[in-house]
Amino acid sequence: MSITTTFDMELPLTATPLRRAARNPLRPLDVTLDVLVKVMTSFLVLSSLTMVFGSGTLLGFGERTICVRDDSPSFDSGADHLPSLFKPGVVASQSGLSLCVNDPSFGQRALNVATQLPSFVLYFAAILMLWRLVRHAAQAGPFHPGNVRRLQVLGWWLAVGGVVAKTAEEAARTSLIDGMYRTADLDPLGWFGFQFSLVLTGLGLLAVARILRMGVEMREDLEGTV
Amino acid sequence: MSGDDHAVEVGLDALLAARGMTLTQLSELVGVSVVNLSVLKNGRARAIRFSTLTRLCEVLDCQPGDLLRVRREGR
Repeated sequence: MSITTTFDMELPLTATPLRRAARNPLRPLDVTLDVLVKVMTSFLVLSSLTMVFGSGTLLGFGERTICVRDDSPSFDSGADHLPSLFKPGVVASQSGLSLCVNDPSFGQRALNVATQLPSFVLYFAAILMLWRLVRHAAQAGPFHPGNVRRLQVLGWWLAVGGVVAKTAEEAARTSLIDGMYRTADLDPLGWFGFQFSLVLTGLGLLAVARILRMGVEMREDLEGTV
Repeated sequence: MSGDDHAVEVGLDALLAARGMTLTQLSELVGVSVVNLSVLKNGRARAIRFSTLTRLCEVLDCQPGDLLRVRREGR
């Protein structure tokens, strides 16, 4: 049984359709991350240029006025302090002050940068590591020892970085605030901080790396199976 | 002996010679790639599927014991 096309070609009814070339399922993710890295790098370069040759700022660099929020002071409501906008029984309080300094000193500028730079380095490096991991997996296959290693490095980077970056930024922020008061009240114990979501993500990636390692070992066994 | 060490010897060379068959011919008849058969023949395989063993024995007209032998220490 056959059908005739407009070009007078006879095709069997059960002709096998053309097979598509196998597509790498990691390719879309690889391309997306590649674009993201290029966009971020371009943004960094452009911002740096506007900061150096213009009036732009980047991660605290180049700022002529530095502002930081101090959340420790609080002011309760009362008839004297805030307008009576609230229903009876509602107590409102203002917490925190926004402290700004014009023409900051070099030390203040450095501390201001330190309140932003650690997180940026953490996230940017994490995206680069993810990009390298996906690229390697797309080329070498998912169950490759190199992927386990890269995933472990990314996991530790996020888990430890989530603590170190937050602590560093908190230390810088506290030092910056204390420098704006007449009498300093430094409390190093108050510097410790961590981003729970990052730490949890890092630990999750370490768990996935352990599971992936088992898959790599199983694949190595299968490779020797005839 | 660790999990990866074993003392199984594969006598595929002798059987192929006895049957007057090449590895390529065996590959086509059994449906296993020449690369994998070479891995088996050279003792680098870690495991063999029962389905592969069945096809090999059917094509070579042999029993598993003719193809596989466990080397005893000291013999």
